[in-house]
Amino acid sequence: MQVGFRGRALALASAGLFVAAACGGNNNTGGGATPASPDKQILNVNIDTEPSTLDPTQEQWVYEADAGRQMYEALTKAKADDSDVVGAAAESWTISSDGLTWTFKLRSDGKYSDGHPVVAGDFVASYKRILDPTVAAPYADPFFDGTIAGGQNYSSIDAKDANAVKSFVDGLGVSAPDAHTFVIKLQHAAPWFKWITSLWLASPIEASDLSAGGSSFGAVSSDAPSKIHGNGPFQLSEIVPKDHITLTPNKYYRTQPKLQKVNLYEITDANVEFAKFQNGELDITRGVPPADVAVVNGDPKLSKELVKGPSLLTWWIDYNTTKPPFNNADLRLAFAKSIDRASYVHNVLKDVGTPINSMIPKGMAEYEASTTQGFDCTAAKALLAKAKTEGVTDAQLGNIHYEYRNSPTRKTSSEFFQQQWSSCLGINVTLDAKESKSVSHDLGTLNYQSGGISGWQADYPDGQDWFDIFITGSGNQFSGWSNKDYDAAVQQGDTAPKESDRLTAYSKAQKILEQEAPVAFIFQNEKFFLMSSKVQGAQIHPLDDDWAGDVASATTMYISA
Amino acid sequence: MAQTLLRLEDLHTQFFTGRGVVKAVDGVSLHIDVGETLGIVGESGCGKTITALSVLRLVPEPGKIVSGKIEFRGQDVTKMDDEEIRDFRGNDVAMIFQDPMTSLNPVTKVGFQIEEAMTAHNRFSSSAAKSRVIELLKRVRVPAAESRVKDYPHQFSGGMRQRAMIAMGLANEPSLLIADEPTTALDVTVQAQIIQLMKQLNRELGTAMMLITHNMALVASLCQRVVVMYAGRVVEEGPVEQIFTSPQHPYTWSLLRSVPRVDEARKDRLVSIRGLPPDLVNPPPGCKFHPRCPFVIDRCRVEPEPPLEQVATNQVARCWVLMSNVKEEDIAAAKTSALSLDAAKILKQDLAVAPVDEVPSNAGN
Amino acid sequence: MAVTAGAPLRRGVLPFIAWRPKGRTATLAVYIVRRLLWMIPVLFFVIVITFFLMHQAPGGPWDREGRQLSPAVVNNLNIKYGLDKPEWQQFLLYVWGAAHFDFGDSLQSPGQHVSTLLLESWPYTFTLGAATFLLLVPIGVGLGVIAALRQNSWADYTALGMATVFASTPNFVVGILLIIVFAIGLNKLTGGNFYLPTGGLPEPYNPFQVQLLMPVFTLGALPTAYIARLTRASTLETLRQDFVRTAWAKGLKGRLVVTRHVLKNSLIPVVTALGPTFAFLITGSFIVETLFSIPGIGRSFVTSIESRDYTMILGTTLLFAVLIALVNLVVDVLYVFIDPRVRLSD
Repeated sequence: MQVGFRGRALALASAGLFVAAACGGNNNTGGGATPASPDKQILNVNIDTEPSTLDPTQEQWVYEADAGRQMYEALTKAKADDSDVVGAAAESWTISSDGLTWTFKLRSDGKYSDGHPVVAGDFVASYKRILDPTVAAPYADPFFDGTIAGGQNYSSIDAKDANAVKSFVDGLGVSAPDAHTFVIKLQHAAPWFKWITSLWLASPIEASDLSAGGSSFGAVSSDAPSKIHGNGPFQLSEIVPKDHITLTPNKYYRTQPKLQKVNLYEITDANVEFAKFQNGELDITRGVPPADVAVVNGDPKLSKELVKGPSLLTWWIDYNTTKPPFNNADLRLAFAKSIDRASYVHNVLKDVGTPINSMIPKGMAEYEASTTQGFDCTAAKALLAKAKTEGVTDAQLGNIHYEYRNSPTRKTSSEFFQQQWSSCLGINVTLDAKESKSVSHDLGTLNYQSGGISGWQADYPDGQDWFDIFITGSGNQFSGWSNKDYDAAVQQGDTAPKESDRLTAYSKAQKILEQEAPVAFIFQNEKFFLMSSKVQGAQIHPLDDDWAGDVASATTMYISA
Repeated sequence: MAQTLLRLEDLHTQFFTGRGVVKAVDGVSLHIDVGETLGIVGESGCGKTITALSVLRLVPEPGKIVSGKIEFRGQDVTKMDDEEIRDFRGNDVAMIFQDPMTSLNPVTKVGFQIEEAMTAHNRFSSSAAKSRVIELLKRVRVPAAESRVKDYPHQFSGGMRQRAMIAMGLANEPSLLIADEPTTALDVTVQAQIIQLMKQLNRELGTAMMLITHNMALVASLCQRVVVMYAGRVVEEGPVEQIFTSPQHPYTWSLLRSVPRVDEARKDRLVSIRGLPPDLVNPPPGCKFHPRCPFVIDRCRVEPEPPLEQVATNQVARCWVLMSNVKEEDIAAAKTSALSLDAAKILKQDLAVAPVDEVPSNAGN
Repeated sequence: MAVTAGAPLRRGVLPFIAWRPKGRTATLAVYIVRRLLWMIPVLFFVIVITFFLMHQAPGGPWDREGRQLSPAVVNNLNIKYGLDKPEWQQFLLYVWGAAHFDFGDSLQSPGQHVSTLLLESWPYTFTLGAATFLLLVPIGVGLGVIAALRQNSWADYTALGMATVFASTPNFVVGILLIIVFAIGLNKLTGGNFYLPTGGLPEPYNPFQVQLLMPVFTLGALPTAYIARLTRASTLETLRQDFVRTAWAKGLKGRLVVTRHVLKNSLIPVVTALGPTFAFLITGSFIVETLFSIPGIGRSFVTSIESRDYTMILGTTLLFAVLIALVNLVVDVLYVFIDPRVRLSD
């Protein structure tokens, strides 16, 4: 669940590489090295920030899933190559021919970490809880926006009206005909819904945990281990608030991991994290401090422990299409085409990332290489000239502002763009550094001209997650852009039952998007972190949020002798 | 023949500053006998305080006693080691200072500060010292002494503080008490009381006293002998009566002229000494007083400084001219000419000679 | 509620204030009680100002950088946390809650009470601050005194030089240098056998832990330098006072002159400065806490501002206000004992 990122250096992110293309050698499935003795099977990972809650329903940030995905298991989970989902808590499922009814058969051996069985009623309760207006789950929208039947009324329910809330929740399309069958009814066919069932949000919660915890269920406190019992491969063993979370194997899970302890540390400073890795106190980092990239590349030991690979995360510059001068599409495209992305990635990002001219990142089925927004100064100048004939004045061009979230790395980044627009188009853009929330506010209220850089990371590798960003009225686009053809193509892509039809529709939408350029796509993130050579068996997923293995769960990882 | 208690022989104390070497005490010799009260007078900056501080070796940085002897009962103070000088201070010789408010530790009780003077020298046990403090305070006429010992300096009035300082000075029954301007910081009525007290103490205890002051009236009431200092040197010395009735050095004469006297006719003008004190780094050649002297002759400017010579019984002075040799009309002229322009305006007097403002002054020290 | 020098106690206007406590202990007790009562209106104004300023900042707790929350969800979240009510109502509700010691739930950590979170984090900040203070006082004051007593000697120049360097170096530079030298550097040198750990949770209320070495040094370098310079200046000035000369003239031993006469006076302004310094130390430093992974309130305060966690911001600000007010009260009361010229007045 890619719920907003906290500000971090833009070159650092996560999600991995396909198995086949691994560099760095020692990781990814297999690892035939001899495991060390059980007392040494301890994994130390840095997840940067303490999760704000361990209640699946209340998830707000990626850090929650870092711990949560090991403790809980949803109906399905992503396959190793991200092409599809496989059953997790559910053994199998069937979809009715009209695509509206999904029937899940739960595993009979599903148990919580206190030994109690997982029943379908728990799923009904947790799905309903996500959509309960009084609970106000932050990321409820995938569950009501075009998906679960009854959910379409979510926005109109007054959370203060107890009766209305009750009848809404009772009327939702989830039910449990028996203890091991869970049925979901949808508003209309949605082939991508399978991915929604794999989100950590949609994990079952033990009824006794909920009733005992009440409104403080999931609080990250030192007594949480006795209050939270998940159905995942690991269980909470210890929480020292703001310092670390320790997980140990859930003895009731169907397979037992080799790791006996996973310590999730909360170290926010990149340099300290790097120091700890070098000292052996950490086995997996979240990234590498930009200043030390060269050091790592040059060091014989560290370069072998470096894990690289593209992640499903694209970054772009936002344009406000509702106000001049960026209400002119040619001007937007001109700006997009005047940025040398290869140079940016090499010089500013120090080769941590790859240039991209389109929205969908490499690694997803919908990916298509494109040159529409590609770097071409001549074409950019021509477009600029064309825009001038369409009413864009020199006065407007002389007063363009680009606002960005204040941080040293983003400053370098923004200055690069400024220099590109100046040298290619001869336009001097003024840079405005602002506090993060202020920028969010400006972007959200369309009170800016150009700004950024904004990014989007896949919650699940389906085009629906991406294309819906730019449909008319979407709360996730900050450009105020609206295009009927695009909306229609996306609608088609979201609902068409055949996969090939979907891809065609999405391809059409993507071309419109690139041409109209409400945003200028710049680069695709790359996973760039350190993993100690003694860590084996990691399955690095494109969908990994923070640490290698968190999506796959650490069940396959072990420490070599 | 009285016994000599303290003898200074050719004392030189100098300050080594960035501007140069300041010769604050430039060859001073004097002596005090047992039980005697000696007054040292002179204007600000003439070196009297530094002379006193030199006796206790308390000259502040960047000053240093450069040469000379300070003999106390035959022992040379300048050659004492650290323990000896500590034993000497506050015990054989005690000193009280000008401003009793700043001279007392504001955060310690007064009684304790006096007690401390005694316990520092192991002369009295702690409990004996405590009761002696009360005794001392009574002796210096501090009312309600028993409760006053617990008070802090800010709870004492100015006069009482000075009494307390005197008590502190006398705590160890010193043979010599040096008092540096003891009444200057006090108001007039209190001054009189303190003077009374000091007279009484001198009678009762027989302590010798070195009284440093620029207040001639004080000298007249308390001292037997007086030393007049100018620019770091002794310029005249003698018994009080003699100095007051027939001062021989023009500076002494000018000093006396600048004080109103009850026994003289009011029509006699107050005379201020024109000019400013000399620069002690580069003093004027010849007699150091010559630029300001009303009776200066060529010899004073040209020849090296005159030596101290006997001018009367027990009286010495350092001058080529000497007041006894000055004509009456010159003295009268000096009285009028030394008026400043402002004073002349106030007194509506005609000036026979140019007023003092037009006399070139030396750099201040 | 002033502490003035030497002013006598005045009669109050209202009859119940006209009662005069007898004796110094009673006066002191009354003074302390009055000061504590004054804290209540002060804290009220702290809430007013913080509340107002907080809501002036653009953006709210539900704004995100990438994926936004759906407007319907934002609406429900606001209802859940009472943010849908008009501001003045929210304010009154908060004040009412605060008066009952209920400071609400954190917006960014669902289900956690603000008071729980503060009580969780504060022991670490306090431990770090107190440990720093315990080192700062002897080192800072000691260096300052030595430098003053041996003015213009090599000891003076060294102390002054060090003080100047540390007073001008920002604490993150000091912190990172320490990490590079003592964590990474030592580790490499000793082949991993000995090095200082960069963080790791300290045990609350125990100032003697190896993982506190670097954070204490980082946090304390600047205040120590400042206190050293202040002590030196104050002592130099006191040395010039007349009563010091009197002490020497009495024939006191050097040590007594220094302790009883010089220091007893020169340390008074230092004590005044140590009060706010202590308050500063125990309210935490975001930089030191982040660098050394100490989960204290310094760090959580900054992150709660960044995420617009209104209840946490208010709670932390109130905590700071109380701490600072208490420390100031302690210093004022201490003053009565160390400087007899000072008297309490109303």
